Parts: sequence; C-alpha cells; structure tokens
Amino acid sequence: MNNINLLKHTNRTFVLFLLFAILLLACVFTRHDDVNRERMNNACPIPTNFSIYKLPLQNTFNPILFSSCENHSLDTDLSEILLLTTFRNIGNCFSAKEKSIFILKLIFLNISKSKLNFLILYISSISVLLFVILFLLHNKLKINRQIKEINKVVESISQKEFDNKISGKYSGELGVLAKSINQMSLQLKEIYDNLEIKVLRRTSEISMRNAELRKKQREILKQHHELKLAYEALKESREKYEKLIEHLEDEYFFYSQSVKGDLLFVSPSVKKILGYSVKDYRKLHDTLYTNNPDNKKAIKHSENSRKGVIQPKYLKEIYDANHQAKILEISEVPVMNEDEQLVSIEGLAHDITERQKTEELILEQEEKYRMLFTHASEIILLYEINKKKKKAENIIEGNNYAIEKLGFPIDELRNMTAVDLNANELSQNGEEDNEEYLADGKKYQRVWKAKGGELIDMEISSHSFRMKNKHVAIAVARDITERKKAEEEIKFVNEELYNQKENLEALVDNLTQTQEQLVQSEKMAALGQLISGIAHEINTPLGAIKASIGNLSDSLDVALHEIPDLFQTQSQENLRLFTYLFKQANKKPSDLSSREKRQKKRELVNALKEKNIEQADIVADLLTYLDVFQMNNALWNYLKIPDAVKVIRSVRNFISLLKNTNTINIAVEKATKTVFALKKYAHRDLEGEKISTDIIDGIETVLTLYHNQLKQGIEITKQYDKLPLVKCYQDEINQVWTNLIQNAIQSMNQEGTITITTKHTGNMVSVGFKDTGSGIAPDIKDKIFDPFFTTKKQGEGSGLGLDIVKKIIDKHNGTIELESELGEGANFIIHIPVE
Amino acid sequence: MEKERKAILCIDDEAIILDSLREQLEKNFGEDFIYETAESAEEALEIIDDLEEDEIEIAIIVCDWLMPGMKGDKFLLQADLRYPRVVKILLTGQANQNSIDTLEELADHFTLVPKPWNKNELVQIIKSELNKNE
Repeated sequence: MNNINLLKHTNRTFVLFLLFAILLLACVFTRHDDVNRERMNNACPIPTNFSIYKLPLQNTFNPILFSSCENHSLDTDLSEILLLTTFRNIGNCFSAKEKSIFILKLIFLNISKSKLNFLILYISSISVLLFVILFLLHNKLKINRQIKEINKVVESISQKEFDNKISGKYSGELGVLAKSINQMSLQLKEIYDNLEIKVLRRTSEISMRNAELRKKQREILKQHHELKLAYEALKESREKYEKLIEHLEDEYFFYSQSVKGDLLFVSPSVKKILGYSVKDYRKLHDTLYTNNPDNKKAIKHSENSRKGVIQPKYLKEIYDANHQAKILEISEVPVMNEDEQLVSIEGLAHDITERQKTEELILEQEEKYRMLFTHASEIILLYEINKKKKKAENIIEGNNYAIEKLGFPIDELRNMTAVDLNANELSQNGEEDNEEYLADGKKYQRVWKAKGGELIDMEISSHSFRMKNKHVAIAVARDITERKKAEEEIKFVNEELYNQKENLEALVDNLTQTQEQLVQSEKMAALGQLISGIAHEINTPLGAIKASIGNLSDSLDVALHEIPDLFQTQSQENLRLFTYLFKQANKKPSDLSSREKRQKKRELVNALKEKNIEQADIVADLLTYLDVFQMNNALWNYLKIPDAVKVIRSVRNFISLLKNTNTINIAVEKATKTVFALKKYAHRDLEGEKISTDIIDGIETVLTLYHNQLKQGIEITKQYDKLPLVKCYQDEINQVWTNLIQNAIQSMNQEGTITITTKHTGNMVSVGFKDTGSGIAPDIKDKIFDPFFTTKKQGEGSGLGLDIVKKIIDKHNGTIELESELGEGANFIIHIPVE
Repeated sequence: MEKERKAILCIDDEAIILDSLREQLEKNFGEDFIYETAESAEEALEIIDDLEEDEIEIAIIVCDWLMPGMKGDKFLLQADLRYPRVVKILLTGQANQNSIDTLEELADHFTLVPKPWNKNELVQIIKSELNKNE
C-alpha cells in the first residue's frame, strides 16, 4: 500500500510540475505575441496541441482536458480566467497550501508581466529542464513498479499460488521476463498438480496401512488381557488347590502297600492325621487296630485287597499316637504290571472320625427331638402354610398324643388342615379361621372337635418357619379343658369370696359402728365410775352455796337489826373502829390455810392478853375471821373502848355478807367448771369428722372430772409444751386421756404422781402419761392392748380400755409408745400427727 | 376469868365448805364454843393435840368423808377411840350406795350426814347428840 501511495504522490508532483511548466511557457509565448501584434499586427495560424493525460490511478482523477493554444490571441484577462478555471477544475486535487502558492504565482505573474518577460523566459527554460528530469524520474518509477509486480507474482508462485499471472504489458526485457515467468508459472502448476495427486494416493495407502496396524494392535491387547485373566484364574485355582491340598492333608493320607502287607510309601500327612511319623507308621500300621469288632471286617477287606480283589470302601478303627481311636475310611486299588501280576496296592485313608462323631451327634439329637415330638404330652402338629392365600394347609405330621387325643389316625390327619379341627370353622368375625394359625408365638384358644365328637378346649401357640422350599408351621396345643373348668370354679369361688367380702365389709361396718358404740359406752362407763366423784364435785360447791346462803341470810338479819343502832347510838370512836376494821378486813374467803390462821390466831390471843384486852379469845376469833392480824396503836386504842367487841361483831356481820357472797361465787364457778367438763366429756360427735382440737384443754377437762378422785392421793405434775390445734375426733381423743389417767390412777392404787407431758415436734404432737405405779411386766407388754386383757380384779376393768386407746390412736394414724419397768411405773406416750 | 369454852372441830379439804360450815355452826352455837378448822384429818389430829395441851375439851367434830390422805371415817374412828363422848358427824358427799352401806355399819361411832346438808338438820342432830352426852 505504501508503494502505491508513494506512486500516487510522485504522479501528482509530476503532473504539477508539468502544468506549471506549460503555464510558464504559455505566458512567455503570450508576451511574445503581444510584442508581435504591436509590431506586425497580423493574425497568426492557430496551432492546436492536445495532450491527454491518463492518470495511472483510476477512480481517483478524472481525465482533464487541457487545451493550450499558443498562437491564439487572447486577452491577458482571458488567459487569467482560463488559468483560474483550469485551476478550479483541478483545484480539488490540491491542497490549500499548494493552491495559495499557485495563486500567488499567478498574481505575481500578472503584476510583473510587462517588466519581467525575460526573467519568465529564463524560469521557463529551467522549468523545461526540470520537466525532463522529472519525466526521467517518472520512467524510472514506472519500471520499479513493474519489477515489484513481477516480484509479487514470483512470490505468489513460491507460495504455490499459480493462478496469478503478470497481466500488465511490459516492454523490453521486462516483457520477456514477464512472459517467461508466466510460462514458468504454468509449468510449475502442472508439475505441482501431478505431485499432489501422487501425494494423495500415497497418503491414502499409508492411512490404510495404519488402520491395519491399529487393528492388529487391538488384537494383541485383547490377547494380552485374556492372558492376564487366564493368569489370574490360574493363580486363583492354584491357591484353591493349595488350600484343598492343605485341607486334604488334614483328612487324607496315601500309601502304597506291598503284596506282603509292608508299607512301601506313606504320605507325610499321616503325621497330621495320626501323629505318627512316616517311619513309625510303616513299622506300626498293623498293630494299631482297636478292639472294635468291626475291625475284623476291615482286616478281611485288607487281605482281599492284597489278593488283588478290588474292595469297596471300608472302615477301620485304629489308635493314633495319643491312643485316641480314629476311624479311617479306606479306598484301595490293586496295581498290576504288564503281565497282569499284582505289584502293589495303592490306598487312600480318609480320617472320618469327626464326621462320624458329628453324624452320631446329629442322629442322637434327631432321636431326642423325635422322642420329644412323639412322646410329648402336648398335641404337636406340623402343617404347611400358604403364605399367599394366608391359609393353613394340610397337616404334615402329628405326634402320638395328637393321634391319641384327637382320635384321628395319622393318614386321616394328613388329609385335614388345622382349621378342620375347629369345632367352629369360622372365627368370631365370621371369616374362615386361619389368621392365628399362621401367627407367630402368640397364644390363642380354640375348641377342637375330636373324631368321637368330644369338644376339647385348646390353648395353642404356633410358630412358622421355612423347611426346604415350603412354609410350615408347628402348633403346640394344650388341653385346657380342666383348667377352664378350674377357672370357672375359681371364678365361682371368687364370686363367693366377693360376696363373703361384701358380707365381711358389712360386718366390719357393723363392727366399726360397734366400736364407736363401744367407745361411747366405755366413755359412759368411765363416767359412771366418775359419777360419784363428779357428784361430790358438784355437791361440794352446792353444799357451800347452801351453807353460805344460810349464813348470808343470818348475817343480813343481824346486820339489818344492827344498822340503826350502829348509826344512831354508836359513839364516834365506835364508828371509827367500825370504819377502820371494815376497811382492813378481807372481804373474800381467806387465802390462808387453816393451819396458818390458827397460828396467827394464837399469836393474836397472846398479844391481846398481854394488852389486857377483854374477851381476848373472842376478839381474836373475830379478828381472825376478818383476816386482820396487823396490829397498830390505833387499833390497840380502838380495842380498849368499852363496846369494841360489839363493834367488831357488827363488822364481822357485814363482812360475812361479802365473804359468803364470794364463797357462793367461787362455789358456782367450781360447779360450773365441773358441769362444763362433764358436758364436754359426754359430748358425742355425731358428725364423725375431725375437728381442730386443743389437746391440753381436753386433758384438763378429764382432770377436772377426775379432780375428786385425784385429790385423794395423787399429785399431777404438768410439763406442758405449747401445742398447736390438732385435727382429731375430739370425744374419742378425750377418751384416750380418760383411759390413760384412769389406768394410771388404778396402777398407783390411788397414790402417787402422774406426770403429764406434751411436746410438739414437727408435724407430730406427743402426750405422755407417766405414773409411779406398779409398772407393766415385760411378758404382758404385748398383750395389754388386746381386747379383754386385764390385770384388774373382776368387775374393776372391762379389759377394753387400752384396746380402745389403740383403736382410737390407729384411727388418728398415731402410735403408742410404752416405757415401763416392773415396779417403776409406766409411761404411755401417744404420738399423733397435727393434720 | 372466862368460863371454859369447849371446842367445835370442822374438817374439810374444800376451803369454801370449811369456811361456810364453820360460820354456820358459829352462827348457831355462838361464842360459847371455840371453833377450829382443819383441811385434812392429819391437821385435825394436830389440832386435837394442841387442844389437849391447852386443856380445851372437844365437844363436836364435823368431818368430811372423802379427803386426800386420811379419810373422814378413819379419822372419826380414831377420834372415837380417844373421845368416845364427843359428838362426831361425818359429812358424806359421795352418793355411792356401797360406801354408804359400809359407813352405816359404823353408825355407833359417828353420825352420817349427807352433803349438801340441811343447816337445821345438822344443827338438830348436833344438839340431840350433845343432849345425849349430857
């Protein structure tokens, strides 16, 4: 491409110069014409000269027709226009710079045309010279181009492209060269084509050969693989045979025997089998027979063998090196020479001791199982089952007991199915009864019908398994008719028992009621025993009240009589004494004991006598009644007044009113307490529910009721811990305290100390009654809670007291603890839960 | 000199009884007697000893039967041995018929008066007993 561009450029330059030269020449000639016109003023012929330039590059330049008319007389302006027109026509071919230079030149020419004609001529000559040089240069370029084309064709030929021809017209040597090159190209093409055909043929031959070779290679590889496989198989079979031989060595040995009976050869495996070396066995082989009588046959066979008679396999039993009997299976073959003479006997001994043992064992076991099967006292049936149809098929085998029990001979059984034995062939849901006969392991019950029509209750369990190619099941059936009967009986007995239980429960209910009644009656009995004491407890305050009321009435009478006298006639001193004593006197019953009072009275009498008080005894009596023992001067003075005794009597009367009133109050309180305790004690809890109970209050109630009895000789020591309210049957629990206190009193023969202790530990409260009585002998400790057990005299105790205590404590989920030693009293400790 | 007063001895373990009995007797028999009270038979014996020491004669003994310690009947039997002429009254509070039967066998030695007693009855009995002795 660069070449082509250069060529283009050269042509352009060349054309430019040519134009320029022509133009200059034209100018010169025009100048010359003007001069001539001026001189000659004639017309000159018009020479016409056409030059056509065909530019070598097509499509780039249009052919420009340029006409020059040297002789034509043209106006300068006209020629300028022509030039400009020409310039316009070719203007497209020039660059802007070239254009401007050209215009400058034209201007320059126009300006100086008249003055510089000479100079122009000179420059025109140089231009022509330049043109010639340029023309030569152009020719050289053209030749260069042709050589390049030839080169290109030659290059393409060397590239095996023979279709390119040198198409341009070349003259001279270049033309000859082009022609010969074209010819050469043709010839080369021909040769090349021939050569290609040959090569193609050769190539196809080679590829065919290759294919054959590949085929052969594949065959060889295949053979190699087969060989490898064969090798592997061989290797494997060799290993197998090696193993087999090893195995054979464990069980077989070979030998060769002479007609005489000597061993000619023994295989070394005899060592493994019998423990003898080859040498030893050869020496000893005839002496090793055991005492087994079958060996006689073996010896016979051996002898026959040596006579050349072919013997069947026979057994012999010999001792091995460890003196263990070994059974050998012998195969012997006589070997004859060409003359049909016996040469030797070839033998193979097979140690079948283990096999024999196993066989024996199997036989033995089979015998055992057969015995078990045959003589079992359960029905055993073996039957086929059809898994697809889910059906029990024909019975295969039945044991003796089955035949005996069901009454069907074995042949008949074999024509039956297990279902046929059912008394009712349909199951409970109405389908054919097969399901459980196929089931595994589960026990089920059926009624079977024996041949004689007898119905037998059966408990059956069946197990299915595979035997050879059959599915079979074995069913073990047990006659449970008796058991069923027994069950019925048991059911009956159970019902009976149930009824009895109901009765017993009713009885227990009765008993419970009775017990409640018993508790109640025991309570009442205790009350009965207490009643005289209680009567006393009530009578005492009643007596006091009665007496006090009498006293009151008497004192009031006297007092009412004395009041007017006292206030009207008494002296001031007397009144003062009255007031003084009334103030000092104790208005309540005296706190002092009779003994203390007596002592004080004694002192008082002495004191009064010392002071020479009149009627000292009586004054002392009166003052003692008033509890006035504190003597002072005022009193001494009062006592000396004449009517002192009378005044004191008056005071005594009034005080008596108060004292007796107080006595009545105290007595009423006492009686009320007793009555209240009695009411509490006799209370019967009809609701029969536990209620929150103050245990200590209960004990105190009982103690109140027993007060009269206790005070006769029994001291009560109370060691009370504070107790919470305890849920219990109040009246029953009070009965417990009653009975224990009663027992304590009796055991101490009314004299001693009862220590009552209460304790609260966790959820339990405990109450102890400790007496100082005779105690309980160890041998009766266990019996004392039994009903009707008593150590008391007839009529003193029912023997129910402690029994009732125990029952009540049991009812409260409590316990009774007994600490006692004979002669040292007893301590009953009751523990009951708070809730 | 004062005239010799005889003693009336009351015995009961219940203070309220003792006080009211004593007052009752005092109101009926007046200041002609010395009144002594004891809360038990044992104490009563002490009093008797004291009275003997003081050379005071005992006229009447009124005793409760059922008391801690020595019972009234026993005490009266003892007293009867020492003072056969003294009026002896046994107050019986217990309505136990058996006991009463037993005690009645001792009627020669003392007189039974049941509790609660009637004042007039008691006084009457004592007075008649006193008269017997005179």
